[in-house]
Amino acid sequence: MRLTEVDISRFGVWRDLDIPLSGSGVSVFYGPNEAGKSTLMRFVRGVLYGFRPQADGSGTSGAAQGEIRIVHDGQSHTIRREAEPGQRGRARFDDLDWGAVSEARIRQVVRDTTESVYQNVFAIGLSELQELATLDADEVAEHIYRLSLGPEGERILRARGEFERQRRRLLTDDRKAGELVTLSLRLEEIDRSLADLGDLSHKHQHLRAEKDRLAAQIEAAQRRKADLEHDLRGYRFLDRVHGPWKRVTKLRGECQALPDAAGLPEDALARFDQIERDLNSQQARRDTLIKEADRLDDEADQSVGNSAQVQHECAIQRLSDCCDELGHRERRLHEKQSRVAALEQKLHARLGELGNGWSVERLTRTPPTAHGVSRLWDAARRYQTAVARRRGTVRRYKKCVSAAQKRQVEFQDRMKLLEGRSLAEAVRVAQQRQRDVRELTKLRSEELRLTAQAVAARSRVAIRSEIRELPPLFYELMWFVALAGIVLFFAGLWGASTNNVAGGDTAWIVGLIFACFGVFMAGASWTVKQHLDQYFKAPAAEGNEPVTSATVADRGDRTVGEQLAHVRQSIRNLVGPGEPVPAPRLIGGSDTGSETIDESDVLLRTAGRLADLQALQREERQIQDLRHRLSRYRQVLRDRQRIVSQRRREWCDTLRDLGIDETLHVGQVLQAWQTAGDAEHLRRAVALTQDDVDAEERSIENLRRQMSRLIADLPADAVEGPNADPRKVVSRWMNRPRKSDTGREPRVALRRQAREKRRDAESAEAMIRDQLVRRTTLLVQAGCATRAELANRLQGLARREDLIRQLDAAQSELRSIAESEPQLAIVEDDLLAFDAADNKRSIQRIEGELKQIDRDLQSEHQTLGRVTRELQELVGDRRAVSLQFEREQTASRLKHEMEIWCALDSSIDAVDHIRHRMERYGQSQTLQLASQYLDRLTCGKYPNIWSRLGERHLCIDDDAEQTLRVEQLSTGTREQVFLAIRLAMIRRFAGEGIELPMVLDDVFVNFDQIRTEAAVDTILDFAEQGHQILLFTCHLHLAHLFESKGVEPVWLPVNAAAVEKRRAG
Amino acid sequence: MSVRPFRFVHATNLRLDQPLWGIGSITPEARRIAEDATLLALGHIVTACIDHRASCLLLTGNCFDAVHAFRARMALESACERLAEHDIEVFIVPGVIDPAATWTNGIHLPPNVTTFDRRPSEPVAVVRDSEVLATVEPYEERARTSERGKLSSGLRIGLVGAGQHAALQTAFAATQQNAGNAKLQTELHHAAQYGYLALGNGSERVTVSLGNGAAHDPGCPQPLDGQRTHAGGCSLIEVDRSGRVNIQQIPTAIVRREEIELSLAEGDTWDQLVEQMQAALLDREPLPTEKLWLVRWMITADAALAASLASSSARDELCELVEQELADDRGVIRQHEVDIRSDWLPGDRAELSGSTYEEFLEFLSERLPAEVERFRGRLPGLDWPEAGWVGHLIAAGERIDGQAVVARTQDLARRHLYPTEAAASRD
Repeated sequence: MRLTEVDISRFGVWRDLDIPLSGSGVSVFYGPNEAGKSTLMRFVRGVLYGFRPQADGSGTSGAAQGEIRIVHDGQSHTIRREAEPGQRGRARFDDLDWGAVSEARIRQVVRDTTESVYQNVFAIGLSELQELATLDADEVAEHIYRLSLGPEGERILRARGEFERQRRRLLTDDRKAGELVTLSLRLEEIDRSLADLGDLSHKHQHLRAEKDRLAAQIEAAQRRKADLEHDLRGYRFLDRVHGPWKRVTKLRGECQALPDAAGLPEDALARFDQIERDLNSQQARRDTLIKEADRLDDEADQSVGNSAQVQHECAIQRLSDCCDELGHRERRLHEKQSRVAALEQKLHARLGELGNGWSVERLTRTPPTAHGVSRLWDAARRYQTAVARRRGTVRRYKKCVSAAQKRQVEFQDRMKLLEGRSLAEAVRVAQQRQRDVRELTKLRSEELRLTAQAVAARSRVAIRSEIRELPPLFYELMWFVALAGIVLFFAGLWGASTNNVAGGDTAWIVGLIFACFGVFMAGASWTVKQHLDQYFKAPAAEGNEPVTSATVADRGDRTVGEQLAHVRQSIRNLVGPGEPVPAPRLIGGSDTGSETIDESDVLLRTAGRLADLQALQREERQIQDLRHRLSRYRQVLRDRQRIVSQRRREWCDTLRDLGIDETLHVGQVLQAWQTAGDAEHLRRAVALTQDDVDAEERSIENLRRQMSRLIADLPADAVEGPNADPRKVVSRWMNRPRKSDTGREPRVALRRQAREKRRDAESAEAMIRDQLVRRTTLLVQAGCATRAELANRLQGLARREDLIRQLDAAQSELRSIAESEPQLAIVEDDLLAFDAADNKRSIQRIEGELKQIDRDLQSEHQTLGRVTRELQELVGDRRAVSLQFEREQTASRLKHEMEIWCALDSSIDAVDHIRHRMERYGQSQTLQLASQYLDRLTCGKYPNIWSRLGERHLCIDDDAEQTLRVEQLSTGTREQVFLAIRLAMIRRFAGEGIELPMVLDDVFVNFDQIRTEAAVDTILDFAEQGHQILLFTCHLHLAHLFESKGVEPVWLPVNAAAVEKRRAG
Repeated sequence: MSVRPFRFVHATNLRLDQPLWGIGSITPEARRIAEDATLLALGHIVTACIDHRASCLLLTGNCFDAVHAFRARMALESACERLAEHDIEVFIVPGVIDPAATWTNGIHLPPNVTTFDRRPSEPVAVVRDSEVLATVEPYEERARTSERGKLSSGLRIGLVGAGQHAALQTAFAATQQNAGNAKLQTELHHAAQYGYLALGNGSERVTVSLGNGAAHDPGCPQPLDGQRTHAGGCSLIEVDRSGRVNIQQIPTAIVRREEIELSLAEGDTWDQLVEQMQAALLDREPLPTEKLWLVRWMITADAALAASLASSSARDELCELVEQELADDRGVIRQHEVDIRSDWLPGDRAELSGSTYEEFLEFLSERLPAEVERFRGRLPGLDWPEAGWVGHLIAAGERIDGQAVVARTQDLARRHLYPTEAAASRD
């Protein structure tokens, strides 16, 4: 839209103002203050968007009205607006109706640009330029900052937000809370708790040192106590000993003064008298017995017999006894020999059980010992345990192998169905086949669709042809109506011009009616024809070809046919080059031969096959796993086997050491070893019994030799040769006829009596000698010669014995005292130097010291007990351990969280780096353009405008690459920034087809001279790009500046009325 | 050289009674085990010495520190007394956290313990049946050591405490990378005068052949942090008649950390997830000393399954299910931590080219190592409130790991900056 003229009937201070404008370029309006420049700007905006009665002041002096003339899309238009009370005025676009139609047309002209955008971007005064908020309205801001950040920008912003959130979770911005603080506080708390517990190590050392010190003190005190007790015992011992010792000494002195008569009995005198009496009686008895024995011998001599016979009788008696003894011993020998034989038989039986390698000599050489049994049992148990473990492992391994083989066989059977292809290849083929079948199904559908389309196209052509064949009457009627219309039209015209039609002055009206009717009929027929042609010929018209029903049908058929052929070719390619195109919806069942199946079945079967193959792949993986497990089992088996071998070696070594043949039959070996043990016992029994037999044989031999000697002493007639049987000799002796010896028995009896008398006499003689000796001894012992001396001596002895008894008692007491203290010894000097009082004082002193030591010891024991208990409590107290453990875990977690914090910190830096890059090089096109304009407006001082990602805030880089926020700029520069942004936006709008004149109301007032000139150049360049600019100024130099650049300013007249009014106001 | 065969045990970096790191929330029973883990590991070392009839135990530093000395000292005293009962000698060389002064105050060690807390120290002989099996001495300067080498009989054992001779230990740890380093070769030649050089850093298990002998670091008996998931232990060294050493690891760790990654196929259900977790656990055999497993699951699943496991209660239920059906007699308590994420496939370079995601990562890859340093330096100067906890926070900042920060930033980029439209177009 270009503004070509502003015609104000009444608006603000202006009345009947008409300002023509050039359609493009810059129009500069100069006028002094209050000339109505801003009013002009508001008028243009008011015409386009409606007046604002209060703001425009239009209501104060009549209704505002006026119009602008524009060029839009190459055509001139007029927009007029008149104020209405309470409304924004009514508008009229060209000759359209007032109101909505015209408003809609105006909106169309301004391309729906809102008033806000127009006011903030296109028509701006100094106040709009100075306010940042004018750029923050959504519609404007969207153009400046872009609507969307894009996926990368969104991700960056979201990630940064999340990183910040996580970082705040770890540590808030004020660094007073967060997970890190919590953990650090926990650490501090634990440290406090540990500090409260104290330095346990030091405490432990201190307690141990205290305990050691106390133990040493106790030991020293106990040593001192022992010493003191020893001394005390000594003193007490001395005290106890001194009395008895003194008594003993005294008694011993008295004893020594008396004569010693050791062994002299007390009743020595009575005994002396008794001995005297016994001696006399015995002497008398001896004499009597001797006399009687003599008398008996005499009687026996008178009856003499055979003395040799008596001697032989004795020998025979002994021989008889020997015979009995011999018989007894021989029976015992026989029994023992039988037992030996039985034991030997058992022994050989056991040896026979053990085998050929076993003999008595071997048993004797290497007897089975208890240690050997222990070793054997131990080795056997280890070996059997190892074997059992291996057997268990083998059983499990075999089970696993069996399962693996079974699965492997099943897998191989299933693999055979793949006809030599690998599983992966089969899966790939199946997947390819599935895709092919799906493709085929799609092609079939497409083929059906195209076939149906071709059929439909043919039927539509037929219908069209049918419709085209309208009855000729239709065309005739149409032609008639059209011709009639033309004729009537011309007739009407002719009638109207000549007034030849009946009717007089109204004839021209009739003619005109005819003409109109004719035009109507011609138009109606043309319209009907056009309508029908449009219906039937429209598709063909697009191709600029002659349009007929036939061509349409041909083209449709051809296209569909080509597509159909293509589809069928594709189907043929899929099914196989040599095969004919199968019938739609049916393909030959290559697998089943005779069976015919459709694609859905094939698809199902292919999917099923694929599923089978995938199951087979899983099976293969499982078999692989099973193999790995078998491999592990084999490893375990090898270990078990190794252990078995080791145990077997140990077993064999044990057997070898024990002298047993190497075998792995543990039971047999153990049984054999048991048998060997039994054999060893038997061997020992045989040996012992054999020793008995030998001893028995030796004693029998001795007995026989003795008997031989007895037989040899016998008379020759009593025996039968040198080797006579003793029993027969005895028997013969007993059975020998006795010789007549009638005097033998009385003589023997006399002799026996005589011997007894003599033995009694000898006995009496012995007793006499004994009594004499005893009497002599008694006298000698007493040191006397007579009985009187003996009596005196006995009186002295009684006294001495009394003293000795006293001495014994004293010594006994002394001994008992000494025995009560066996470790103490006292020398006589101590006893001689003994002072009872002094000794008592020493005892009291030691007792006092001992009591003190006991008290100290008790105290120290209590302290030691307390220290020991504290030590035990310290050792058993796990609080410190638990706290240390928790501290380490907390510190570990704190380190972990610190790493996350560091990572977040670095990540935020990285994200900011990316964001900065995106902000620098990924700004909206508006800001890029604005940067160019600002660069020109500021003569290169500020080359770049940008905004932060996701923020609606402007940043400006200066030529030192320092970034400033817009608030930090000077007023002039900030206005230049905003002007640059508006120029950029207008250019962007122009790119979108929105071309509205830019109105600037004294916006350069804060620019310095250089930047003003730069701004003028920029504005002129901007205008050269096709933008219309209306620039109002009250500064003459600016008007002259434009004038110097070839732009003739419009010199606005001084509005005297306004001036007067304002002055009055 | 012919020596009498014998065995000894080498352990280092015991860090007795030091708490394990990054355990998280666990049951009281498991916590008690974790609290006592280092002490229990020492018990296993002593048991190993007794079971294998070792002649001596070498402890090459970092046994305990002053902060955690109390229970540690008691445990060490008790362990040494137990070894003394079995006539096993103990040789200790100070480390970084247990310098010489630590061994002279407040610790009562039995006579079977030799602490090389003075330098230079004279070699000490390990004698059995009046025969010298080995001489033990701290690793010293070469002249002195060479001179001693002529006098020593049996196996020569040199002790290098944790943190001592740092260059040498670092060189040993990186022998593979520095095979051509002339200085290292010289050091190796010098170290080869020892039949066994006991290294003490204990950060990882290292064995370097030294002619007829070896330099060996057995690693930590009970790793404290979660960075190393392997089982810790000590080493049993068997010396044969020819003086050659055969090194065998003996597990001692009580707590084991496992990080298991599972990737579920689309459509997999909870049951399948539970089965996979159980299978993964069954595939891992617990070592005899282990009592507690801290299992961290990194599960990648489709969106539906991931959503069903979003809440902590759901994850707890999952762990309960795994444990219920997995109850076995292995005597190990397992604590689970589930980190589940939905399917995410990195796009190809063409799709990501020029995206903010790529720009973000490039920017950080250029700046991050230095940025972490700057972050550390900036921390104290920030406007902190006057409070005691600030010190903890700054101290924690000093310890942050640059690689972990890089991983976090990558995770943030993946979660918030990955171009979803690229992923959508792939789908």
